[in-house]
Amino acid sequence: MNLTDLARVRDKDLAGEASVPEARTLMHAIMSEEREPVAAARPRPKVRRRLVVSFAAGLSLATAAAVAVISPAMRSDSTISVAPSVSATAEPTARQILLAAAVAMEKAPASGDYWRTATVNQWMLTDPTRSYVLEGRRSLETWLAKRPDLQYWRIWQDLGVKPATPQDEAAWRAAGAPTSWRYPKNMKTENLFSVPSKPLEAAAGERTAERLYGKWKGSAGDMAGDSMTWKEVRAIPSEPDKLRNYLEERIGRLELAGSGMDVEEARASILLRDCVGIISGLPASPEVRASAYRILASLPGIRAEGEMTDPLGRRGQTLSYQEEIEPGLFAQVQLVVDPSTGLLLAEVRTNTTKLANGRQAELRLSTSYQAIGWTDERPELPAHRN
Amino acid sequence: MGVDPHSRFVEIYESAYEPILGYVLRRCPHPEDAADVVAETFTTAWRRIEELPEGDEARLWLYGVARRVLANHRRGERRHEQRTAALRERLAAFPALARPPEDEISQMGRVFRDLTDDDRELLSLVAWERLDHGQIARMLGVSRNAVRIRLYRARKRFARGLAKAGIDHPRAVALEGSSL
Repeated sequence: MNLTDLARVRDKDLAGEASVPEARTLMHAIMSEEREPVAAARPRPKVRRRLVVSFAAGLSLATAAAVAVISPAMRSDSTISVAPSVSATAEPTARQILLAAAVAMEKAPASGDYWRTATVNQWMLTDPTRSYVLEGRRSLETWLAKRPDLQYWRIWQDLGVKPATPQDEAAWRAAGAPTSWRYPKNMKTENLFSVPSKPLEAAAGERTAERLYGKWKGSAGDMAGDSMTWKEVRAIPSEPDKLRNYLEERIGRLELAGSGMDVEEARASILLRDCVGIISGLPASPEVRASAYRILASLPGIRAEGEMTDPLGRRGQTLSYQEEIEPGLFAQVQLVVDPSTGLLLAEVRTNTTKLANGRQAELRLSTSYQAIGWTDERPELPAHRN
Repeated sequence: MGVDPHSRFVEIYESAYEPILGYVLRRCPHPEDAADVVAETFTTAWRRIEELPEGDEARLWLYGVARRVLANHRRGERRHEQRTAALRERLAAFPALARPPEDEISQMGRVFRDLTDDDRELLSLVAWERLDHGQIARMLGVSRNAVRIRLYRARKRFARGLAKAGIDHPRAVALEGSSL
């Protein structure tokens, strides 16, 4: 016996399978689907091409948008429709949702006194004995101003910790309904959450404001971890193709070899992250933010999951993609978008873990956006200062 | 690429369907799930037909896609699609797949299954897909040398596992068609 004998099926067992009716039906069904148009204009980089997450070969973004606006249902080319239609529903595709969001985003206000983002972050972790899952919430507002006479502020509040689901609540009651959890420093978490260094408290905290000084002076937030000045943000090109080149050039300067990830794939996933970063928080022009949506619309691997409520209970269209956290380990990322305003409502990451009793539990990490954009309002400052 | 996408896809589908189906079947615990993985793999090829490399490289590209689709399916993203219903039925009743349940598989099979996913995949690519170092390197997007080293280690770990299980069978490790 050798390794070959362990194979479930040999290639010779499958001879002729490609021409059976079932295989032909599938082929026609696939070919009746819409295909991504690829513009000839953009030279494709001479690299090994591979896998699903490889760069979308230069789709002319402007053309794609125009096509979608004129007729969202239009096929990219004439296709043979032999098999019954694959999806007869009216559910919009990921690309249609992203392009609609781009169009709406262009109408967002382009200026104001403050660039404000207000979020609610929710995260889950197991209790120290891994018997149930806890969910914590924290709100955070950031107020950045271009005018030198206005101050930068950050205001946050811990909104408390509680069992994540009714099932977790039952386990929590069975454990005596504790309201504080102390974690051993060396607790194993499979990198799915960080071990709280201080005891975790169930009670909500006080709303606290912090004035931002120092490195924040003149800062317009950050892109992919790099602090950006207002001038640098203004210089970001707004044309989709130019924005993409700009981002790819920045990504090209990163040292990615040796990360254990395939460089090409790492770049593709950073491009996606950069676009989400621009949409979710950079005080760039509405055109730049719209273009970030258009780039997302051209990327492979993002799919529509239909209408869903975000962690704050708001309805939106859900898009999802897989993120490779480490080779072979994927996290599911969902973006909830309101296509009518172009605003990102929430970003949700889901992992699973095994509890002490063997139950598979979901660990969700989410950021819900209550506001992203320009305002002439002023922050409501609590008495408590840091 | 002057050829129109339809004829190019038909050509790729016809030449790669069997190896890809084999690749997926050998790695899927349930044969009927293979239908959805194959469908998703070729759908990706259809969407990205302009990017598909020429000739036999297309098959390697597709293995790469199938590998990823499989990983996603294992992560619970299983979904039976309407369009694969017929193919699922066919595979569920496929004669070549009628084989004893897993726990009756040899001890060697158990040692093999206990290897890491990466080791198992490398050894399988050699033994089952009969790819050489260069082809594996192109499929995984790593250097030939990396493949050589990883394979060397995977074989050593497999050999150690076999020795521990009391199997003394050098042929099991010296996979045919490959010299180390």
